[in-house]
Amino acid sequence: MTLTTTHIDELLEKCRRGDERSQMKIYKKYSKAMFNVALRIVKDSAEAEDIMQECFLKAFDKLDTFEGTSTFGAWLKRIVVNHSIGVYNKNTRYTEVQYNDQFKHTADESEGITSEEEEQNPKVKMILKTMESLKENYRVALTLHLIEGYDYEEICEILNITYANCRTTISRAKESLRTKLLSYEN
Amino acid sequence: MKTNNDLKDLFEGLDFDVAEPASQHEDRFREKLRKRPQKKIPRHNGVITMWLPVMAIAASFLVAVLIFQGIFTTPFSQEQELANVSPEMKQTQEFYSSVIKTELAALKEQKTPETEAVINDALAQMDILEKDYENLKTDLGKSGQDQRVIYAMITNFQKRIDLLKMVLEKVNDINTLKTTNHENNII
Repeated sequence: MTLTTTHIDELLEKCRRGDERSQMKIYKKYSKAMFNVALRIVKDSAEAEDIMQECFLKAFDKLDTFEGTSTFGAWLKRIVVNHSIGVYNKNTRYTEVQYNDQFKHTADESEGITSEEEEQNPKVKMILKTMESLKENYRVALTLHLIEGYDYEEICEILNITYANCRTTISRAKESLRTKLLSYEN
Repeated sequence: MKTNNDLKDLFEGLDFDVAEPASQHEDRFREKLRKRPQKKIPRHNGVITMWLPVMAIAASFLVAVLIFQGIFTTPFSQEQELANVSPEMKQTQEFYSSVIKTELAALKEQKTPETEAVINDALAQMDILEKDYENLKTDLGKSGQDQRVIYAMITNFQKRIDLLKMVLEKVNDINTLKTTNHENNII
């Protein structure tokens, strides 16, 4: 554990100095996780890739502000989550008309991925699929809470909602997910 | 109703990172990395240029100190201690100086009106020997630690110790002579 952290610290030091190889190493190490984080929120793989890559560039630029109070992965993930939420809000707010199209498009795509990996982890697939059938704000809140592992305070901050609102949303979302999961099982 | 933790347990330990980024995403990222405004490299240089004056000042200080040392220490550097020759010599010097110190202290304790003349004379002799030793120190520096100078220095130490020993014996003699005289008188 310590070995990898020191290794990452070394890489980050080089990244600060603008070393491309180290930046690519960091990218390779974290890209898949960050891609998935973005994808779970925006549900469009091209968009998710853009977000992920922009966030990496942003992170490399702002590496000086990374104080090491959390791990680099957590710090980067927070950037990705915030950026994804920003993009998600923009999409739902301004492209109301296109929204359905996009939704269909992404649904198709994710189905493609599903068939590929169905044998590997059917349980995860099932959960993700159920999550997707939830109401949009439930889905996002639950994704942040259960998959990304943020607590209520952090989710309030990310979604810019009040604590009470956040609690209610999540508990209702959980309830909804529970019933859906049960209906799938039966 | 299920407990609140059932969902947490359900999600526990599952890897949700099931999707793979589209192929060649790394190449695309590399391109973006290169294309973006190269903030880092000028900043990197900026750091160096920022430190340059500081380093220049530091370097000139270093040079100044070295020159200063060179000018002012050369006349003094010709004077060398025996301790500078080798660790053994350092031990020798320390040994002799400590012996001389204790002997001198012992001698000064024995000071009585009767022995005062002898002791004062001995101290004068010691002063002469010490001056000799100071001269030897400069010689040592000038000759580049010549063996003969080293021997002379050691001999100088020994002479001083011999002198002190001799004087101490003399003083003892004087003192005992006095007491025995008294004893003789008593007996």
